[in-house]
Amino acid sequence: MALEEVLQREAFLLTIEIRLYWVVAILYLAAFIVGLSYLLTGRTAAGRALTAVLWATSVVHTLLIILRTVEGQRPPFQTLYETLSWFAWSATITYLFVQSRWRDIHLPGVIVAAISAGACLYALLTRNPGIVPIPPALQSPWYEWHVVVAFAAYAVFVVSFSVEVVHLALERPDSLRAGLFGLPHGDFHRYTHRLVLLGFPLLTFAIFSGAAWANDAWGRYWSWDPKETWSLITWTVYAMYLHARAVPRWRGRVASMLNMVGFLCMVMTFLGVNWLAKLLNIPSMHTYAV
Amino acid sequence: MLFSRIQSLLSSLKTSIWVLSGMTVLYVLGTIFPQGAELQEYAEAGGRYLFLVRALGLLDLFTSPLFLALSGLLCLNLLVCILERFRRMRKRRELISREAFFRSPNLLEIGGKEVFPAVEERLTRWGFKLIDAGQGQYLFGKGLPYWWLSWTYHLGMIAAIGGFLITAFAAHEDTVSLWPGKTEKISLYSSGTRLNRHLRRLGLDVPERRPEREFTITLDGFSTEYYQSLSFDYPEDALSRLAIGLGWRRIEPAHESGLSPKMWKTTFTLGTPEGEQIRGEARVNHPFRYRGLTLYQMGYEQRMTLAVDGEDMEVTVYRPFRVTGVEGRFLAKTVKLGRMIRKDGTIVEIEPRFELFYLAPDGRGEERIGTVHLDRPIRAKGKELLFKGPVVEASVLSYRVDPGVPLIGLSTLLVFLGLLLRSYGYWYRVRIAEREGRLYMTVSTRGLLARREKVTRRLSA
Repeated sequence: MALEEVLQREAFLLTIEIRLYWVVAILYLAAFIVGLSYLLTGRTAAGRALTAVLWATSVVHTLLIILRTVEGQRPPFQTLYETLSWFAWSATITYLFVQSRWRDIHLPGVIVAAISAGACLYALLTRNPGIVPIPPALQSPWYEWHVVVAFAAYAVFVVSFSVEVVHLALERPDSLRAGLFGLPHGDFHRYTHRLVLLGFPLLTFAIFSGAAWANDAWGRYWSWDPKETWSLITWTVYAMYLHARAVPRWRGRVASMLNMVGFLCMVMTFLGVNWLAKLLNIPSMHTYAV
Repeated sequence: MLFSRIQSLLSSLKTSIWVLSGMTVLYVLGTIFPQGAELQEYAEAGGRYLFLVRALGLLDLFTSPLFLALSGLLCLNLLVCILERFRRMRKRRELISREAFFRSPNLLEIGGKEVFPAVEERLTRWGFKLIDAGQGQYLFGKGLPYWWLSWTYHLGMIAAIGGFLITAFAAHEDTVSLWPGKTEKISLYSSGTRLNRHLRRLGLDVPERRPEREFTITLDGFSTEYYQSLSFDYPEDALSRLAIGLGWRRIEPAHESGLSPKMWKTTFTLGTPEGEQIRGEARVNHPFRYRGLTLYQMGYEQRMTLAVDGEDMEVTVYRPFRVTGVEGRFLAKTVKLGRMIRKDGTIVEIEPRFELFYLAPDGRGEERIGTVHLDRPIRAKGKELLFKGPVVEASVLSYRVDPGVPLIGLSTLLVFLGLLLRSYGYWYRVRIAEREGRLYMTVSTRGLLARREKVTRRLSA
């Protein structure tokens, strides 16, 4: 195929992809609005509609991910534009998988929908959608494993955070009609604990694979780069959460707070580090991910 | 008494959480304060709290006494915990007292004592084994050894900290620029490691060189490959982007915007201390390893000849150079050489070219002059510059000797496998006891694959 034809084809595919991406973002917003109506009315039908919209969105989002992979002929998580989409998709898929075991518990979906919508809109409104080739630093057998597993951990922590927020919001019996949402209070901590137990080894693998990769690429397995340090902070906070769950007096509110701080640290690792590096003019070896 | 109080404090989970929170605070500080900067640089850049920064070593936090002390405390905490766990695991009898059993909040009645053979048969069928029995109690169990797994990954963490320490004290690294036709020396030994510095301070004899650990290295070839870089004219403002999303605007095909690197590769000959010659290759992400020496492809340097108003001068890329009669300096950026893989899959040889910049005096800014092509003159600041070539390239390799890596590798394996099996595996303990002709049971589980409800439901049925 001649170069002109290749470029025409790319522009065409990118136009379709961007439109599809907007559809996905709007569907996440729709899910969020349906979720708000569930929160206000407490009607189970609205909760089921929220989950149904998220399922539909995840199907369209999967198509978007496949299209991007075909377009770029490489894994779709190289630039921040792409990783935000991957992050929203993996969080939603993980939530839907977990939710399928909860039957009529739908409320954490509101938070997941909001986070996913936010990630998609951030990508669409601020990042460049151009497909860039893989730079030498990313041409490593560790690349796919490191990124996929790290985002799997992030996805689990998003769901855990969502459950925790819902739990804290409905904790006081007089605050909202908690009983209407099918939420057995005693089970919340067990849910979040199991989710963190699921995500923690994934995050551990992501850090170790990153260190092994750095050892091959830069000759140092650890450089105290801001991204590395924040991933260690996230890991440490979740380790504190898991320890706090084993202390009878701390397994409630203290553990909940640590779970939420862990989520904030995860967001900082994913997005905030770039912002911090720019703000404080700190050099980072992970700038290719911007 | 005091020893046992210290031991109990150090083995407590609360202590672990407090130490970890202290470490977290230090990690955060390490990403806020510029690591490796001098105090004066920090002050000149508008840095504040100089006294605190100096006293706490915040500009070199990860080797500061504060950090090392807290890491030591963490190590001690881990060590006491695993010793304590080891002691408990060896002495451990899993059978608990009858009183404790009947106080359990999860106690379930499963029928009359005559059902015990059926329960035992069912448990055996599911893979449970009778672990212990006594005082009218039976303990059945199956699954992974959860206590030992937990113990293993804590041990792995201590080993990882040990590996970090070995790296900090004994690793050394350097870079070598390989210019064509010039042989360089690299050594597996350095007298400048922290360990050797400390040994010297202790009065021990630390040699400056160890010839039996020195290699020679000669460049055989260096090549670069690029992708054809393309960019779209994509709008920055949100409304225009929304217009594209809604189909009111279309995206024009991309246009060529330069070259983006694909790969750098160096081939070389390594001379061993025994006089053997070995051919090697290093690429980004694909280091060359031989007998404890690892060579990494880091970058490259370039030199070329420019004619300024007919007079030849040698210029090194990224090093500003002066031209007589011009107040400021010029700067040549990377000369693009080698092969380019075009978007349509064809491969072409790149016509050598580089970007030329003018640096105003006193750092008053940088002005792009333009792209300079081989054998095509360009005028800049009243001078005629001609890129004559040839371009001589040096490959920059870094080499590193890190005796901490094997221990780090082993410890990460221990930590990861221990955590994975502990978190995802399953562990069951079913306790059964009889009281007044009735059978009662409790089911404890660990791990994500353990299903307490399922076992409870099926046994109760």
